[in-house]
Amino acid sequence: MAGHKIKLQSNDGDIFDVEVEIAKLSITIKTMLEDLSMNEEEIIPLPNINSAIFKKVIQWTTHHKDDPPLPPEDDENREKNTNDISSWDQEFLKVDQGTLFELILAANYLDIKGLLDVTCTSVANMIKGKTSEEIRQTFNIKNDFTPQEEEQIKKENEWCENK
Amino acid sequence: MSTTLTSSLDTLPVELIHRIFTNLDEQTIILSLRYVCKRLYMIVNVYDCYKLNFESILKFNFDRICQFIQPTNVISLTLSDQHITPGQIQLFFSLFRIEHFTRLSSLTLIDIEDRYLKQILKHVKNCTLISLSIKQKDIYNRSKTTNHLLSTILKQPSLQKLTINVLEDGTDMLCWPMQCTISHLTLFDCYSNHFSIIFHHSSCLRTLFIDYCNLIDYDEPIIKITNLVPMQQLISLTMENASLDMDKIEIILSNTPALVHLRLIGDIDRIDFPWEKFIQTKLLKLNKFDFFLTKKVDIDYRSINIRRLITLFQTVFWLEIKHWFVTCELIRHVPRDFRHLDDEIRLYSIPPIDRHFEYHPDSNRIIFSTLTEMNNDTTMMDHIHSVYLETKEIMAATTKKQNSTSITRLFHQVSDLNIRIDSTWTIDCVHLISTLIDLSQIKKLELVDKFPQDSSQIMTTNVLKILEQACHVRSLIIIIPWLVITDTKIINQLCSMIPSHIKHLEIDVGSMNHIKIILQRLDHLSSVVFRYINGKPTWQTTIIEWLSDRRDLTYCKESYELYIWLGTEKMNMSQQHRTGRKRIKLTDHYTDS
Repeated sequence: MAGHKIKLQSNDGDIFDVEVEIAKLSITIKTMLEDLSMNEEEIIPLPNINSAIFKKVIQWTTHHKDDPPLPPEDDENREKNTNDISSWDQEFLKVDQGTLFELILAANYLDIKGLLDVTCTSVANMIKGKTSEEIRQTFNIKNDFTPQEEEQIKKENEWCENK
Repeated sequence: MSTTLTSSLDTLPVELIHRIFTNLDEQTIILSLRYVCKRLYMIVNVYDCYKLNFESILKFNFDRICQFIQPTNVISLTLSDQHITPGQIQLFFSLFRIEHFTRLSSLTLIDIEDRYLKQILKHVKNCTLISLSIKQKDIYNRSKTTNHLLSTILKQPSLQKLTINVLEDGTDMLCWPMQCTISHLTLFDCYSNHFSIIFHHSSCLRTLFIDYCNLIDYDEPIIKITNLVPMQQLISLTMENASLDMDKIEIILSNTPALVHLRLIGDIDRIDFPWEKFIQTKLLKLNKFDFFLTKKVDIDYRSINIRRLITLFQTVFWLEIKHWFVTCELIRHVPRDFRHLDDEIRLYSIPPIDRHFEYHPDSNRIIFSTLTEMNNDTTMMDHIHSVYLETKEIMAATTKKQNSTSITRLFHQVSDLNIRIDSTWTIDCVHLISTLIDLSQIKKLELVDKFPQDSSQIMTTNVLKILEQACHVRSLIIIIPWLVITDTKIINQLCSMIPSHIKHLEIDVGSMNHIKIILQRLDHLSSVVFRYINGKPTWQTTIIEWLSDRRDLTYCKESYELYIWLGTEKMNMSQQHRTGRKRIKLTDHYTDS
């Protein structure tokens, strides 16, 4: 029913009234509503998502509510095309890295394939073509190899770096 | 949006990092990400869905990946013996046995020879392949065994995507099953007689792509297309590099009633085909129609009036119902002493979708379009990735106008540029080319000079100017016959111009000394093709022996060409072998979160 709403609660206690059709873009919520026969007054808790991230998720699902359904998950069909992020999604994903990774976790928990695809693609674009050191700098990752392991890696890469 | 969240790449669950891998190439995963930190090292090691695409890989990266990879972790494999990776397929199967790739669902083999294809197919016929793509180099030598194996694979119910090249006269003897399950078919070199086979056996087909579709019978006998079984499932049909006999196209398209997307690129025998009436009666579901059709016309040919031709597309159906816009051009090839070609009519949908665009200055074109604001749209040519142009034509046009500002930036996304040069092009011409095309986007640059006279001074100056701006070129092809008779000074001069970001070079040479100079001076090359029209057959063996002492390599020999895929220098190779095939033992026992 268009306009019909349900209540969803983030892990920091905020309650969101969300249209059912938008909420159902999450397979997790859709399954809860259908399998558990929850009524509209019941509050559905989302223990893994805070309100800041959930607001972003609602923003994304609202914009994409009329998108055609995505093809089923298929390794063969999942092309390595990292350039096909729409301009709206590019703007939506102009967030700090912490938010981007929380969005990936939220999309995974809520099972929203489109959002998971676009957030993972965005991270892949940040990695693509970079050296190990550039990736460390981009994501602030500590190099935790021991000196012996470093030496071994250096030998493996020596001739490659000479090029 | 600012948060205090702590999630980062190295704390994501493994399954989500693996999901990010699906959007990355294997070189980034194996050669970069793996060495970022211990956790990513472990995660890369256990990843079991590698899609290895070695189509344009540098040899030293190929060697590194082959040292790392476990065949059972590979689900998709692309191998190629094309110019930039000659000898790759043989090398790969000297390192691995195909039967160990037990989880392979997609296999692509480019420019493979029959002897290797046969061996591979014997084993992959037992795999549950979803996608198989074969472009055979020596198709006319395709053996009976290969045909039999291919026929067996065609019957596999799992197979959904097939790409294959076929023979003109049907002697490939492929046996198509009655109910083929393939839904996506790509054919190279398709002729009229193939259509009845495709239409009879491919009832599940949803997309059909044909590259080099040859429907015009220039010589006897005329092959007719008859008795097609309607293909009710086909929603997308593409024919590129085609020669289109419109009577045959009419028959083919009359049997594809579900078509949603149609793309036709190539020469056509009837430029004034009544598309509107045909689409309204036969292709009721068509909502996307891309085309780039050309027809050569005699200089005195007056029966086609392009102003009248464009009116066919200025109807309510085209402009208001379909919102399809069309441009029609008459290209007058000048100067006539340079190219003895007929004039040409080009009819194309907007934006142009032909990946290989032949550029002609405005002064050589008469243009009519149904889209009046076309000139203001700077993105109009953004679908064009390959441009061909002639310096002689540009020079003539600018001299005629005496105004170089008539050329403006038209191509922003071109990656392949083919310039036909001549002995008279000036630095002004280079300037105009760089105005017309964003040279910083070019990845592949081809320079062709068909004139025999030595114009080395002009060429080196102008090419240097182009290379200064084309800072991302990886592939440089120089087809210049006079290089064969030039002295080593010019070869040295050329070598000094070629920057280290160029990894592939194709060039004409006149002596073994030329070859040695190029290989010694350009040690950053990953692959090279030498053409020597006047060379002796013994050169190939001598050069390979000489080079084998210095570089790791694979190669392929043709009558007048030598293709080499260059790896590491021998000294460095010994270091590589000392560390090869070892994985680091992490000192800590590491468990993923």
